[in-house]
Amino acid sequence: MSNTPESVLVGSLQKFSVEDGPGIRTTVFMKGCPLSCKWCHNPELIDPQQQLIKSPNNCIGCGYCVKICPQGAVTMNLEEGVVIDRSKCDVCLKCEDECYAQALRPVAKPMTIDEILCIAEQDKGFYDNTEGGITVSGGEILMHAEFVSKLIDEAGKRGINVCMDTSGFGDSQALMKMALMENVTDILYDMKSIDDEVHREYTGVSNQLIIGNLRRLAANARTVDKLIMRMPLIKGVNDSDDIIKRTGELYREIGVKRVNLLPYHSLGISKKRNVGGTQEEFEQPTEERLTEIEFYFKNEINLKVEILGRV
Amino acid sequence: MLTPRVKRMREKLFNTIPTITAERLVLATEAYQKFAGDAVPIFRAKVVNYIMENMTTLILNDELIVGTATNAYRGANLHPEFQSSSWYISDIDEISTRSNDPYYISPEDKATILETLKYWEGKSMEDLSQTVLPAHTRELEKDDIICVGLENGVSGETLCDHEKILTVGIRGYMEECQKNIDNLLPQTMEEQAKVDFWKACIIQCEGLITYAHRMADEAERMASESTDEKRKQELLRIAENCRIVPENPPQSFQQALQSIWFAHVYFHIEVCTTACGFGRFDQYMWSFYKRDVIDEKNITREEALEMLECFYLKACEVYEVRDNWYATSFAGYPMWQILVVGGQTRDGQDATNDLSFLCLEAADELRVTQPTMAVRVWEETPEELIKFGCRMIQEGQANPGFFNDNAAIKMCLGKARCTIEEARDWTIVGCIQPGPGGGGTDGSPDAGYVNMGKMVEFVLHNGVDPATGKLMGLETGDPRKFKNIEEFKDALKKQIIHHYDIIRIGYNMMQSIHMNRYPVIFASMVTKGCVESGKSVQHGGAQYSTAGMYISGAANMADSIAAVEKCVFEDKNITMDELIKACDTNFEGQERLRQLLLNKPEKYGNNLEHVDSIYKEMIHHVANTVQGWKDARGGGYAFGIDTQTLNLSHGLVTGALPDGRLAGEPFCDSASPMMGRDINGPTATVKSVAAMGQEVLHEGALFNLRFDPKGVQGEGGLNIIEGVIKTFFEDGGEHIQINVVDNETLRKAQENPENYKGLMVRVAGYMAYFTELDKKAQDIIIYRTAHLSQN
Repeated sequence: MSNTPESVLVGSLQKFSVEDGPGIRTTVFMKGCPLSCKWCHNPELIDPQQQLIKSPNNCIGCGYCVKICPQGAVTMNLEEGVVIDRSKCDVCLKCEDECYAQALRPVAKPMTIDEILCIAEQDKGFYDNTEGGITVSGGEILMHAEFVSKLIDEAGKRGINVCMDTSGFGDSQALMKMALMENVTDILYDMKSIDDEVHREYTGVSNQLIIGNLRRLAANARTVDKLIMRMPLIKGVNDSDDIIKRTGELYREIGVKRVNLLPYHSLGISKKRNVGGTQEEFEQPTEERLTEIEFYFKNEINLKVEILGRV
Repeated sequence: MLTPRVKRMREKLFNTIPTITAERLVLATEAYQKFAGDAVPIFRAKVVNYIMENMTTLILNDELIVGTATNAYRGANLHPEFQSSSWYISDIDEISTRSNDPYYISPEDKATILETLKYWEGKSMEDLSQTVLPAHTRELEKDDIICVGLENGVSGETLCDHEKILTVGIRGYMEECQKNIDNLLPQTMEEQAKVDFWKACIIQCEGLITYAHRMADEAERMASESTDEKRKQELLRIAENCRIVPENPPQSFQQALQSIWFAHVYFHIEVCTTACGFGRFDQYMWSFYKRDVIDEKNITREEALEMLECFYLKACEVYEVRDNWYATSFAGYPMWQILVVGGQTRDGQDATNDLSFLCLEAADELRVTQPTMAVRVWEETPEELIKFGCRMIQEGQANPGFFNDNAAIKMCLGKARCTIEEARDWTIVGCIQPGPGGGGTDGSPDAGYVNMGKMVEFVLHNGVDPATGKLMGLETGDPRKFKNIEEFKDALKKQIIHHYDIIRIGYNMMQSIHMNRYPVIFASMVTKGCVESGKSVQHGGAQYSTAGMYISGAANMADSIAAVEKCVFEDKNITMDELIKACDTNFEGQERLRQLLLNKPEKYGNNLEHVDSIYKEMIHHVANTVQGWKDARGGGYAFGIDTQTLNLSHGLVTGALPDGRLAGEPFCDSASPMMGRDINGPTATVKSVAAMGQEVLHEGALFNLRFDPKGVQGEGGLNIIEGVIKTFFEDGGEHIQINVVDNETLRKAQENPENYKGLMVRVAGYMAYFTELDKKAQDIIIYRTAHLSQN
């Protein structure tokens, strides 16, 4: 099971998202991302293919998953509970049917544009009262550019505004086409590191395309004001004076006005483990450092700054 | 900023444990013996008059508004006419240490109380009720399957015509009653009863005026002894006020406050009442405020604010002593004194004025549990008023509650067949129940509750209570033979209605006793319709009379139906027999099955159409049935969703249910989903709650929502709170109250209560200090899903 033109794998449709753009929103998390950021907080959405995810806290140890698995991929032991041998698992999802406690389930389910919007539309009243809407996020939406374009267009027909959440790593034309759409009100644009060496080391890709796409969006009068820069801040990785200063100068040069600071949190680690991988633990910058960075962007670059996702 | 005076008074409130005193009990006992023999209303009036002539006149330091219900600050009266001396006596030793709503009693007062109560043995309404109610009804009550109102309390929790009190004064009422007497030569029992009622009204008016004048004497005495010139002047002003009001129409804002307070405290001296609302305070007080503050500038806005805060602090001083069961089921010393602001005028204009804001400002500064603030919202409500309330909510004050004018007006038109003007002039009776006519509705908001968990258990056991093995309910057939979910639902509907009918009979019996023995005189007199008709509210004298029936565990019931439908009839994962056995054994060794029941069927509160429609169907069935019934005085029954903290006591006696809830766990809170089952976020919850078609429920639906503060910070957070409220109202919701507090704070408050004395939470239609609730009641607030919480 994977993404098709008619449907994409959606990790979740999160209603009442209040930190993914203005107002009350429903965020559509699509599966598949060309980056592999070491701190990724949605690591289960990196692989574009369907995966089985565990929720060990839900497991009641009934053992039905072990019995049903045709591949013999599921075992149980006292220390780790359910163990999935990923080399054997072909994601047939038979175990899901037997797992009443919802401790084993697919990461995502395939959804069509209509299915997504029917659910998102339920909250239209909230969007209208708070200038909210839906946020398309991932994963990376540019991996599903055609689908997302249609989704935005259809949302517009139903009177719903859209906020894009993107790493900027993808086809420039497709990105620009989406960004220019009338009902796209905001673009959450990731800035993981302005230093390409750091970017390559920690995300697996160069930032050249990303910065190039950012410059294009900023150069267009119809898209520049939609930009909200999103900066994950990881202590010792991308919070140095040098990186922050160079980032600030870029922002000044290209004329973006808003930035969200997202201090690192470790919620990705368990999710990564639950889809059968490991993730390194990082630290978030100290409160003091966060305040310095906030001050810098606010007072020296004259940006509107918000710190989000504090745990 | 609180003035030093108000700060001192507030501090004193927090540092004083409520106290039960003997004075009213002793005076009432003397009076009962002295005046026995008169016609009941006159006799009752003379008893109250005697109390007013003799009770202590207590004026406390710093007060600007005076009058207490007892001879002690934060004092509570015992009312042995209503409540049984037997539990007063049996509970008296532990009442100061019980976990819910404790009261201090001094050793001297305790000795006096015990001695005096000897006279009352077997004489109370409560004692009487137990001898007349059918044995089966009493047994259902004992087992927490139903409860029937009025057994130990007063009928007609007052929502009076405040405007008229301020317009004609108590003297005006006396003259009206006298004129009615002069114009009628009674020649029938009914006519004689009218004359007796009017005479009783006059006697009680005299009682209140006497008390006010005695307070004036006391203020003058204190003034003469005061060495503080400023306080001396204040006391002389108080004395002057007490000579003018409540007898005459007030001449100033302070006198208007004093007049309303005298009437209000009198309700609590006459009978053991609760839920006496302050009605549309910003409307009936407006002319006095406008004249003093805006037009003539006799006082500043700040001075008016301080007076208002002194008034609010008085509202924190009245109590109704309740037995252990009531203290658990209605925890946190609730008095449901709702003060309403905003909304629209009788002719459909926006009613908001500067006093509406001042009322919220006072609550914002004071942060006390009484009065509970209610903001009426409609299309024309100024944005600033809504924002002001939302900011209070955002700060975690749990106050005000918000009410939807459009929904409440429809409910009023449905319940009372009143005019549109009267419907627009609605205010709250009880905690969320809309009553039309601006002081013309007697809502008697507590005919009874039915435990929905027990109803499901009865259907699963063909009327037998699995807890006792006794046949307690209706024999609705062997559920193993049900062929489809419709048969299950039909059985449940019959079971539920059967129990509401038992309440109806019991409540009508109680009402009839109240009519003959306990007509409430003063509160009736100031309710529109009673003086005109010569009848107390107990006799149906109010313009509109209704009685409320309520439900606990509504979401558990709907979720249980959905679970039976999905797992037994549709997917056939389990037979009815297996399900019954699993519930009976509390899912012992059947955790996998419980997980199936928890996770596979839809759960109410997630914006899922099917289960939400089951909820609606069941609720509407109950509403449409009971709202066709009449109470003893010819008033209509009205139905609403409101559990108070009965979800705790009713849950405690109920076994495991098909929705996966374990035995003994609390039920859902009021109209909210079951705790922890609403997993699609608050917008989905809000949509589900609104989807039940609330306008059909004449008593409304109480909706508690909790946010983690981290999720609703700053201007954006304010916008979100407001957006949630507005959307809920657009979808037809009547009432919403929002707690913004995180689990960590609540847990810390549990551990170190002394550091969290002022932490307020919404319980039902009322607020309580979190640290004054017992552990179990605290836990159910913590269990309420905290949206946006990340722990």
